[in-house]
Amino acid sequence: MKTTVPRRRIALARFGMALAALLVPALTVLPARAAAPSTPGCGAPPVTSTHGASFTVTETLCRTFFDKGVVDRRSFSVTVSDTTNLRNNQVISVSWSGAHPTGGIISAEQWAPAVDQEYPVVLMECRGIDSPDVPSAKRLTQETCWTATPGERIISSPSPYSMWSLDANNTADGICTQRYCNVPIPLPSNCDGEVAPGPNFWLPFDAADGTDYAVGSAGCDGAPPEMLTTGEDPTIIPSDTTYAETALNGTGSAKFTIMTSETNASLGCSQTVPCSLVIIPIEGINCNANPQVGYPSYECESLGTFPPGSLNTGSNPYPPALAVTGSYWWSGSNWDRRISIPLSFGTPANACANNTQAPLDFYGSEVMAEAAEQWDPAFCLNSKLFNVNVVQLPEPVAKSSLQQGFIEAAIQGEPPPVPVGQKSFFTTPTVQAPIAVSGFAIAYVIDNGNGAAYTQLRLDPRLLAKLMTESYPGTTSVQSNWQITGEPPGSGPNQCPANCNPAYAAMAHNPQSIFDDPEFLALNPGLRVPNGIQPGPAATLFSILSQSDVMWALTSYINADPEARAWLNGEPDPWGMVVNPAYKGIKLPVESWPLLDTTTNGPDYTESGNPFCVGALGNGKAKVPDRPLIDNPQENLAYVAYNMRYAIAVSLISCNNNPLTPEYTELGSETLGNRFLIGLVSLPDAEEFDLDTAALQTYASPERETDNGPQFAAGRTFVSPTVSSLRAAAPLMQPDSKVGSWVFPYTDFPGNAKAEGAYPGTMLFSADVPTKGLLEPDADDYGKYLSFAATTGQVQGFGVGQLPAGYVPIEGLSEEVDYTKVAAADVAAQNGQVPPLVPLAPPPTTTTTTVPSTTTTTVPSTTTTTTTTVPSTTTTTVPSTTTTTTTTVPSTTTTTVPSTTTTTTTTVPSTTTTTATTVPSTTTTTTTTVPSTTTTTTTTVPSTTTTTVAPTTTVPSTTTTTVAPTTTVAPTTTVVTTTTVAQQSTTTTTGAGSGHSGKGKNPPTGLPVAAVGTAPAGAGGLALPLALLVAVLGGVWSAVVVLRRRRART
Amino acid sequence: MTVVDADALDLFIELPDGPPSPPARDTSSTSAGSKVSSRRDPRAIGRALVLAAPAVLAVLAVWFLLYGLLLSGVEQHVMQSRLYDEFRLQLAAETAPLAEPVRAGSPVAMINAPSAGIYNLIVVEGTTSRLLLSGPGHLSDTPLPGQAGTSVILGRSVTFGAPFGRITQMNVGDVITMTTGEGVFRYRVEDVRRPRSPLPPSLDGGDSRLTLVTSASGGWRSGWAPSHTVFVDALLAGKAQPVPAGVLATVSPASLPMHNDPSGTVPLIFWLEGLVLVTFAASWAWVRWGRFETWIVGAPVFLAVLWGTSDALMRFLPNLL
Repeated sequence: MKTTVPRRRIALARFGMALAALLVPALTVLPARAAAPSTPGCGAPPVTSTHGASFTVTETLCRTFFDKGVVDRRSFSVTVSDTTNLRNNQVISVSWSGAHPTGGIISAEQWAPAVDQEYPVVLMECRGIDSPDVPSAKRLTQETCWTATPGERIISSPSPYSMWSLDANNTADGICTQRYCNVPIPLPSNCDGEVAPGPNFWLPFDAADGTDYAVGSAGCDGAPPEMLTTGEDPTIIPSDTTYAETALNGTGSAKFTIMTSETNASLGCSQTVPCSLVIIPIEGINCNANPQVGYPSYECESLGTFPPGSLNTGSNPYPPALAVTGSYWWSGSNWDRRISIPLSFGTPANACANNTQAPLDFYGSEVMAEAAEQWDPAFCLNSKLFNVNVVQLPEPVAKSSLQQGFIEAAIQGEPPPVPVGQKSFFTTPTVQAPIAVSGFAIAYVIDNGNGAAYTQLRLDPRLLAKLMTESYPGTTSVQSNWQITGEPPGSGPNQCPANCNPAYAAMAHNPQSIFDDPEFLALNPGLRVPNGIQPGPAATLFSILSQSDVMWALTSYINADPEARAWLNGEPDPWGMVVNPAYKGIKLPVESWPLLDTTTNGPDYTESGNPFCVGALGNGKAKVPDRPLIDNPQENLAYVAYNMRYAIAVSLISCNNNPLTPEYTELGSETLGNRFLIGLVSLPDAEEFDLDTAALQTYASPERETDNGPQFAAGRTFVSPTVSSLRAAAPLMQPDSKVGSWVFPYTDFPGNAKAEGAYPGTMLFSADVPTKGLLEPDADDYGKYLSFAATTGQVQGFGVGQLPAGYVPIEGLSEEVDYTKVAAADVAAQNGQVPPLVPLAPPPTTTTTTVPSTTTTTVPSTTTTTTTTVPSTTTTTVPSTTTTTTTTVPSTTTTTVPSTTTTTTTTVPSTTTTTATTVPSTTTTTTTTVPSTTTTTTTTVPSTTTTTVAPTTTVPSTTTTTVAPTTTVAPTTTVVTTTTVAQQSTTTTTGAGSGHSGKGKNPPTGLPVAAVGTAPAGAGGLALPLALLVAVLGGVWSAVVVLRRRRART
Repeated sequence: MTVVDADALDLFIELPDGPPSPPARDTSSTSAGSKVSSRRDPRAIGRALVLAAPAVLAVLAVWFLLYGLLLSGVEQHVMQSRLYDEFRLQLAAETAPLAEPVRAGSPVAMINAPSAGIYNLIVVEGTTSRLLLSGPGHLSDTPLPGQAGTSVILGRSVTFGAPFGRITQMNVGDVITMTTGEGVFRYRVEDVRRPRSPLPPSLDGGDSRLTLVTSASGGWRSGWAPSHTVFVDALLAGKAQPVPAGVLATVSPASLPMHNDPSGTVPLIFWLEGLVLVTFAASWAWVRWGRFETWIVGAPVFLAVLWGTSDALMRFLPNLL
């Protein structure tokens, strides 16, 4: 018997060991975990420095999963148009190829909701330079990147395994992967009810003044004032942060609005604070394994829920896949793909704001605003000169204010007409000195049916007339309004109630909008009109309310065209469209465009189902004529340009649906793919906002008249506004001595082949300044300004004192230049004279020789040009041997020369130190001030005498120094390199996922919600089996012992 | 399962007759108290321990099995009925909690899921092992059921009535009804997630998801020795309520699934001390009063203390067990 016991013991021991052998592996099962393979060749250092205005850069994009390796690889290449001398609100073009096509496209790309597109290309402006070499205060990070709304930098994850915790690059980059990133706990009281539950990532914003804004959901924890927080509708105001779409072939382009500290002080980009354009092609998150189970998160590894190129219409059952939307632009994977391009900024338009001197005021044309922004700092930043302020005022108002003596100087685009019976519009002698050539443009935003923007728009004057004369009904309610108005009074189906006009009956066949007009389609054969276009805004030319010389020019152009004029007079076009009877026979040109259609017989605007507007505005109250609501002219051209930039349809054909205060409201931003807007803008605005501008008809062969077939467009010439077409147009300006200035011969256009290449929207802008009655020092200052404008101000460029894009230098127009120079002298002298437009006598040779030479030689840097000594009345004699470039005029003869040559002007726009007595040998000119362009043109007229006019009296020798337009801001040649953070996935194994019950787990990230297949039960989970084991073993042992003892006893 | 139970019962019936009495007789029959016996024969003590220690352990183990699988269910049932009364009153008085913070352990919702055999279970606030003794618990840093976002409910699958023991058998489309102070919300099951299942799609802003979490296992461990967590996702059919105040409660690690609650250490020490006291008292009474009297007086007291000890001990086990 004794032998059996050990055997049982051995058996028991074996059983125990077997159990243990079973248990041990169960306790120590570790999930398989694989590191993502590091991928050579991906994510090459993308940052590039810039040395020029535009450049191209290429990088390789990869998306890597820890379990699948590289799942997507692309070669991304991007081109940027302008990077230097940028101004506030300037629009630059960015185009690229090789990006992942965008899916789930959302309307306009500048609006915050566009962040939810899949695979957008994110463009943003960030303060700092993207280089490890610069001090950290000047380094670019996500936190210095601007977003217009808090929603673009705050994200809460519905899943406990937030995207940022799964992002392989975040670990490598040191970006927070915790459950709560930058979230203050406890939350500030403002954030009650604002913070979504679950993991949260808050990306703070570091303002330029050093403030660190935590931002928080809806800005609850403090946001910069420029950021749109609660209460403001982010769909109304576009931001400069752009989520641009990429077409199916991988190419795309976007227009990006630059913001400087003028509009965004928190971002604070300026001449002294460098900023960068950051381009992030969203390629998707590089995913690590779910840290608890080691398996992939399919949310992270999603490749998108929308097919490329599809629109997000809200009908997709799945929301956009966050892993590939723009929401995670800051997360390591996307951030490491960024391309940072250093930007440099020009002198801001508010540079003169700090000058406390009483400014020299010009009032007038807003077309000159961009030029003034660059010209004025050349004066106000120079302590020896003066402060200049150009106040925008409708030109006709400015001209009449000047005439009445309220202001001292006006800037206009059209000489005022001379009243009957008078010699001049102005009662005091006033020069109208040409200072710039620019003009108007017909800007448009039109989407073609193939998804791209239409960029070939051609318009003839008749189409413009159709748009402006409210001859397209636009909406069906206007259509029925006209139909009822056109019925004979008291008869017809609708019994026209009031103000009936049978002439409206003829308009029943007018196309609803311009895109239904066969004439428009004949001129634009490449356009396939998309189906979703709103006809209302496409029925009008968005324009301005106020008086304007631009409107005068535009209507002059229309009026000069026989086709358009005939149509305005009531003759139908070849397709039968007629003019609105309210405009029939309208006398053109006009300074402000009247809205004449006042018919109110139709139902009120009901198309978008807005009962409140119908009830309150219609019943019992005076009815609002509904056709002008579509036009809704704006206050000034800049507003129109802004609306065109963001495709905002301002037609008042929507309703606020407020039952108490019903109001018609603007239609708002048109959706991408269905945009159709045409508006009147100034050329400089069009350039600044990078707008598409229409080619206008300059010539039509005579046989076009009645053709309404496909040959309609044949024999017509259209010209877009370009530098060359403006240059071609400028010489066409004809001097008109009656009005005292040059006028544009619009009648040249329709049939004159000579004018074929000239842009008909060209305008000559002049400064009107009296030559009598101004006091010192204003008179002198005005003279200097005019002289500057005629000479060194005419250098094209974006620097201080230069002429920006949208203007053409007048230097080629010698008559105009000369006139302005003479006028400048007259103004300075206040001699009551007005120079003739065309010199009566043959101009003195010196005038033609010396003047152009000085102006042309201004371009190279710091050249000393002609120096003429006029020793006539001086007492100090100059030893003639000393100065080399001095011509001494033999004094004493003072005879007045007929006409022109009474000029020895010294226009000193900037800082010329002229020595009173010429020192032997060297004329000292010390002009080293930076703000460029110091010019002193001394015209000596040999043979005739010089009446010393200039207030710089008795200057024996004036020296001329022209400092070239020094671009004060040297292109910041910062070579920036980033460390390559390739998409290597880091294995985030910190003991998590093991069989132990949570000791090795990271509480902040390890949340339970979706902890798939965690196996933390361990020993605890085996409590009951262990108890059973103990019970069985204990029981068996006890039984064995008892049995043994009983046996031993017996 | 049934086999195990039968074994346990057999042992339980057999053992009190066998092992406990012989050692008692053996050690204390000749004389009174252990002092005498130890003085008399040290070997006898050793022999007694060889028998007694495993036997006592075995008895305790059987008790623990019995408690865990059967008696704890009774305990939860009692607590549930009390919670039900409380919650019913709160609903009637409209004082049921609508938003965080909610006192831990107080009722927040009632859950019904017929296909999982869940009828009128009261969900309490908090998910530590202690709180889950009284029923399913609501994870504190998630919104309440019916509110926008993912609301997470943890429940035991084995012990304490196994409230979530059958949720893994639910099918897609099954209805889960949650009753809170904000109304009745009907959820439909989206999927049952096991190891290697993908994460559910992210939620739209206004939607509400309910995730029931429990533990499970397969094979021989099925039903009594869970090894991993399982998730049942259900989507609210209809409109979710807004989250009234998004208090970001950071939960303690003890609230996370499969974690134990170390806060039970102090009670457990007291309960164990009580157990030792009762044992000594019983031994004393066995000698002084007699066997029968000791049984009459000692058994209920011992049982009560043992129950309390077990209850405290359960907190050290994973909260989903």
